[in-house]
Amino acid sequence: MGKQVEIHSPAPSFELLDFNGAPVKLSDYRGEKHVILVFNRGFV
Amino acid sequence: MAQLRQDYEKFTELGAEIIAVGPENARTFSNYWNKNNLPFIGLPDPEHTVLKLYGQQIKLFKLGRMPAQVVIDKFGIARYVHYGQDMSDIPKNEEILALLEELSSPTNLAVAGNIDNYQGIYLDRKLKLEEL
Repeated sequence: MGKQVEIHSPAPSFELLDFNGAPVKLSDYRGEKHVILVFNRGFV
Repeated sequence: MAQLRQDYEKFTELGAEIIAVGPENARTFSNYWNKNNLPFIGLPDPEHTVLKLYGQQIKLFKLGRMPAQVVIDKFGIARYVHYGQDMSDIPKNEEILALLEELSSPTNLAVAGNIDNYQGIYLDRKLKLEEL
Protein backbone atom coordinates (compact mmCIF):
# COMPACT_ATOMS: atom_id res chain seq x y z
CA MET A 1 0.00 0.00 0.00
CA GLY A 2 1.44 3.33 -1.05
CA LYS A 3 1.50 6.45 1.05
CA GLN A 4 -1.32 8.89 0.46
CA VAL A 5 -0.52 12.24 -1.10
CA GLU A 6 -0.56 15.21 1.24
CA ILE A 7 -2.26 18.40 0.25
CA HIS A 8 0.04 21.33 -0.59
CA SER A 9 2.99 19.02 -1.15
CA PRO A 10 4.60 18.12 -4.49
CA ALA A 11 2.70 15.38 -6.32
CA PRO A 12 4.74 12.22 -7.08
CA SER A 13 5.99 12.26 -10.67
CA PHE A 14 5.11 9.44 -13.02
CA GLU A 15 5.31 8.44 -16.64
CA LEU A 16 3.09 5.84 -18.30
CA LEU A 17 1.66 5.14 -21.74
CA ASP A 18 -1.99 5.98 -22.34
CA PHE A 19 -4.18 3.31 -23.93
CA ASN A 20 -3.20 4.55 -27.39
CA GLY A 21 0.47 4.09 -26.56
CA ALA A 22 1.28 7.80 -26.19
CA PRO A 23 3.55 8.68 -23.25
CA VAL A 24 1.92 10.67 -20.46
CA LYS A 25 4.31 12.37 -18.09
CA LEU A 26 3.15 14.47 -15.15
CA SER A 27 6.04 16.92 -15.50
CA ASP A 28 4.96 17.72 -19.07
CA TYR A 29 2.04 19.64 -17.57
CA ARG A 30 4.30 21.77 -15.40
CA GLY A 31 3.67 25.42 -16.23
CA GLU A 32 1.03 24.38 -18.77
CA LYS A 33 -2.04 22.85 -17.17
CA HIS A 34 -3.54 21.75 -13.91
CA VAL A 35 -4.04 18.00 -13.76
CA ILE A 36 -7.06 16.26 -12.30
CA LEU A 37 -5.88 12.77 -11.51
CA VAL A 38 -8.77 10.37 -11.06
CA PHE A 39 -8.59 6.90 -9.58
CA ASN A 40 -11.74 4.88 -9.94
CA ARG A 41 -12.87 1.51 -8.77
CA GLY A 42 -12.55 0.01 -12.23
CA PHE A 43 -14.82 -0.40 -15.22
CA VAL A 44 -16.46 -3.72 -14.53
CA MET B 1 -16.44 8.84 -15.54
CA ALA B 2 -19.72 10.01 -17.01
CA GLN B 3 -19.84 12.67 -14.33
CA LEU B 4 -16.49 14.06 -15.48
CA ARG B 5 -17.43 13.90 -19.15
CA GLN B 6 -20.46 16.06 -18.45
CA ASP B 7 -18.34 19.06 -17.44
CA TYR B 8 -15.19 18.27 -19.41
CA GLU B 9 -15.30 21.57 -21.30
CA LYS B 10 -15.61 23.53 -18.07
CA PHE B 11 -12.57 21.75 -16.69
CA THR B 12 -10.47 22.47 -19.77
CA GLU B 13 -11.65 26.09 -19.94
CA LEU B 14 -10.19 26.50 -16.47
CA GLY B 15 -6.87 25.18 -17.69
CA ALA B 16 -7.08 21.60 -16.48
CA GLU B 17 -6.64 18.20 -18.05
CA ILE B 18 -8.22 15.04 -16.67
CA ILE B 19 -6.21 11.84 -16.43
CA ALA B 20 -8.04 8.70 -15.32
CA VAL B 21 -5.83 5.92 -13.98
CA GLY B 22 -6.92 2.32 -13.50
CA PRO B 23 -5.55 -1.20 -13.12
CA GLU B 24 -7.13 -2.43 -16.38
CA ASN B 25 -5.02 -3.06 -19.47
CA ALA B 26 -4.88 -0.86 -22.59
CA ARG B 27 -7.44 -2.93 -24.49
CA THR B 28 -10.03 -2.72 -21.71
CA PHE B 29 -9.40 1.01 -21.45
CA SER B 30 -9.76 1.46 -25.18
CA ASN B 31 -13.07 -0.43 -25.28
CA TYR B 32 -14.47 1.47 -22.35
CA TRP B 33 -13.38 4.86 -23.75
CA ASN B 34 -14.89 4.17 -27.14
CA LYS B 35 -18.09 2.79 -25.72
CA ASN B 36 -18.60 5.76 -23.41
CA ASN B 37 -17.11 8.38 -25.70
CA LEU B 38 -14.78 9.78 -23.05
CA PRO B 39 -12.80 12.88 -24.07
CA PHE B 40 -10.02 12.75 -21.49
CA ILE B 41 -6.82 10.75 -21.03
CA GLY B 42 -7.06 7.11 -19.98
CA LEU B 43 -3.99 5.66 -18.33
CA PRO B 44 -3.83 1.88 -17.96
CA ASP B 45 -1.75 0.95 -14.94
CA PRO B 46 -1.77 -2.86 -14.81
CA GLU B 47 1.49 -2.84 -12.83
CA HIS B 48 -0.18 -0.58 -10.23
CA THR B 49 2.78 1.84 -10.40
CA VAL B 50 0.82 5.07 -10.16
CA LEU B 51 -1.97 3.54 -8.11
CA LYS B 52 0.58 2.65 -5.43
CA LEU B 53 2.52 5.87 -5.82
CA TYR B 54 -0.62 7.80 -4.97
CA GLY B 55 -1.76 5.37 -2.29
CA GLN B 56 -5.12 4.41 -3.71
CA GLN B 57 -6.82 2.35 -1.04
CA ILE B 58 -8.01 -1.17 -1.58
CA LYS B 59 -10.65 -2.39 0.81
CA LEU B 60 -11.15 -6.09 0.50
CA PHE B 61 -14.31 -6.20 2.55
CA LYS B 62 -15.81 -3.56 0.27
CA LEU B 63 -14.74 -5.52 -2.79
CA GLY B 64 -12.40 -3.14 -4.46
CA ARG B 65 -10.54 0.07 -4.94
CA MET B 66 -11.72 3.22 -3.31
CA PRO B 67 -12.08 6.22 -5.61
CA ALA B 68 -9.55 9.02 -5.20
CA GLN B 69 -9.02 12.43 -6.80
CA VAL B 70 -5.92 14.58 -6.73
CA VAL B 71 -5.76 18.01 -8.37
CA ILE B 72 -2.20 19.02 -9.18
CA ASP B 73 -1.61 22.66 -10.05
CA LYS B 74 0.71 23.99 -12.75
CA PHE B 75 3.51 24.10 -10.21
CA GLY B 76 3.26 20.36 -9.56
CA ILE B 77 1.71 20.83 -6.12
CA ALA B 78 -1.28 18.79 -4.96
CA ARG B 79 -4.00 21.36 -4.25
CA TYR B 80 -6.87 19.01 -3.70
CA VAL B 81 -6.68 15.51 -2.31
CA HIS B 82 -9.66 13.30 -1.74
CA TYR B 83 -9.49 9.64 -0.83
CA GLY B 84 -12.97 8.17 -0.94
CA GLN B 85 -14.21 6.14 2.01
CA ASP B 86 -16.56 4.09 -0.13
CA MET B 87 -17.41 3.54 -3.79
CA SER B 88 -19.80 6.46 -4.00
CA ASP B 89 -17.58 8.90 -2.10
CA ILE B 90 -16.72 11.06 -5.13
CA PRO B 91 -16.56 14.86 -4.98
CA LYS B 92 -19.05 16.88 -7.01
CA ASN B 93 -17.71 18.51 -10.18
CA GLU B 94 -18.67 21.89 -8.70
CA GLU B 95 -16.22 21.41 -5.88
CA ILE B 96 -13.30 20.78 -8.23
CA LEU B 97 -14.40 23.55 -10.62
CA ALA B 98 -14.48 26.02 -7.72
CA LEU B 99 -10.94 25.05 -6.79
CA LEU B 100 -9.76 25.44 -10.41
CA GLU B 101 -11.30 28.89 -10.53
CA GLU B 102 -9.36 29.81 -7.44
CA LEU B 103 -6.14 28.45 -8.90
CA SER B 104 -6.63 30.78 -11.88
CA SER B 105 -7.50 33.85 -9.84
CA PRO B 106 -4.94 36.69 -9.77
CA THR B 107 -4.85 36.57 -5.97
CA ASN B 108 -3.93 32.95 -6.00
CA LEU B 109 -1.33 33.29 -8.71
CA ALA B 110 0.29 36.04 -6.66
CA VAL B 111 0.71 33.79 -3.64
CA ALA B 112 1.07 30.46 -5.43
CA GLY B 113 4.77 30.32 -4.66
CA ASN B 114 4.07 30.64 -0.97
CA ILE B 115 2.61 27.45 0.47
CA ASP B 116 1.70 29.04 3.82
CA ASN B 117 -0.31 31.79 2.17
CA TYR B 118 -1.98 29.27 -0.02
CA GLN B 119 -2.94 27.08 2.87
CA GLY B 120 -4.65 30.07 4.47
CA ILE B 121 -6.72 30.62 1.36
CA TYR B 122 -7.55 26.96 1.15
CA LEU B 123 -8.75 26.78 4.74
CA ASP B 124 -10.80 29.91 4.16
CA ARG B 125 -12.45 28.27 1.17
CA LYS B 126 -13.19 25.14 3.15
CA LEU B 127 -14.89 27.16 5.85
CA LYS B 128 -16.97 28.96 3.25
CA LEU B 129 -18.05 25.65 1.74
CA GLU B 130 -19.01 24.34 5.15
CA GLU B 131 -21.17 27.39 5.73
CA LEU B 132 -23.20 26.64 2.62
